[in-house]
Amino acid sequence: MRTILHVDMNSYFATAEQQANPYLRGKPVGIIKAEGRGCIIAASIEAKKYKIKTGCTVWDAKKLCPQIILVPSDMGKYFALTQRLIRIISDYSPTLEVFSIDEMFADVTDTQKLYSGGALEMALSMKQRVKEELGEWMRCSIGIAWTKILAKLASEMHKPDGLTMLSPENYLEETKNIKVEEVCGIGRARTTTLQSMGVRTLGEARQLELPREIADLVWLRVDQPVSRVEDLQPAKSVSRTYTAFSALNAQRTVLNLVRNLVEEAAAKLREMNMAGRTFCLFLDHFWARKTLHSSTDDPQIIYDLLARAYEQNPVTGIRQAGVSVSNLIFNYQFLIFDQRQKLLNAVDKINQKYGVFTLYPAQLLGGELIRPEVTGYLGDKYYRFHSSGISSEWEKAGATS
Amino acid sequence: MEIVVRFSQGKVKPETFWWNGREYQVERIPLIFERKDGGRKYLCFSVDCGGMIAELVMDKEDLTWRLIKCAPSYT
Ligand SMILES: [Mg+2]
Repeated sequence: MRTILHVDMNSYFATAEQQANPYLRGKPVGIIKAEGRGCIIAASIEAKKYKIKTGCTVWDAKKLCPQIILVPSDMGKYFALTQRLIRIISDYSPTLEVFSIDEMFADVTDTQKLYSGGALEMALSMKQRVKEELGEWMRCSIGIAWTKILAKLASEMHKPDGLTMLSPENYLEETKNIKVEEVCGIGRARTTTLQSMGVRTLGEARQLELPREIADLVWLRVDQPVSRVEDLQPAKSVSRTYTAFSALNAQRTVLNLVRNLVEEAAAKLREMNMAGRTFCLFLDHFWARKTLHSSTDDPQIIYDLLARAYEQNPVTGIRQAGVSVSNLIFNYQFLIFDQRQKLLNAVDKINQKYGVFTLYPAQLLGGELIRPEVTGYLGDKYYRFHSSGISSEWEKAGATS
Repeated sequence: MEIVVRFSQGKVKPETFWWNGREYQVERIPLIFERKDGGRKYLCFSVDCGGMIAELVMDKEDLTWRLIKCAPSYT
């Protein structure tokens, strides 16, 4: 039997803001995407007591808790803390799966033997280091079990700052009141089916004869290995989307936005050392897909292709735009003598050194530049965390001053 | 921005800075982290100057400092 730890940061984004700004501690805080945008994307532990949840509109949140403090999200800060968390947990086991920006699994079957108190002592030590190195306000819940699904359920049982261990003797009893939809893999469709049978909890579902597939989930028999960062598959596609504050009414404006998104997507491709063959353009309900014979990471080629598709059907009055590149391969740079490739490499170097969009196409001159969006989405985690061991000592939290 | 920092034991810490004609003493540093913009790296310090929280940012390339956020917009 293996021993799996699931580490889950509590109210991550909001707690990180409280770590950065001690005057927010102990107060209800709601993280919003940006100033003036409609939804709470994360709530502090204090805000959750007012029933404020992720997805709640700002309007509803203020009704539930008029004194809520709204803070715009700062993904750069959260990713920096996640990198540090990964470094901490990887000290306890080389088999580490980064499941989301604030959750990871570690297989500690072998390494727990280094602790006289086993996995429990290890978990306490992790919690201590999270406080020391991320900050004294940061907390996490840890679940320990022999499969990922059970470890994740265990970490959810006591929040915040919990530590829960499930054993073969107690796990059926401990999990009987868990709602079926909380089990990873049961999903919305199966939940609806189960609910139509009058079933809400795992305990109730276990009373029924169910198809094997669902029964395995209900009895928590599903087991998957902990995948490591090294095992992650390279990205299958790269996409960039943007929602404008008001409708884009001129074809020129739409095309400029497309160009901007193409520049970003292509820069990301080159950063990952990849190139793509299939290109999609989405504009509200309009979409077009183009495939080339050979792959490219050149924004001019991608843009020309998508702009031609757009000109055949020049929709305006749109608010949402997206560009995606798929059919990716690693770019082996056969084109080493190609002047254009050299130019793009030089552009990347300058933008790397002096900041994104130091150099950009003249088409975008004078307009507002849309900068790469940092989101909690980890579609690029292969790229983002693959070589995450790099960092200097002085970056560690100076929790004291 | 004018700033006094201390380099000690391989770490850097801001101590005093002048901003908008006022002097601020850094009382504590609740969070230090790194931001990236392309390949450019910035070391960021959330500092508490006795009621005012600010984010001071050091460009790791040329060691220049900026103040990028401060209360009240920060809270
Ligand atoms: Mg969490």
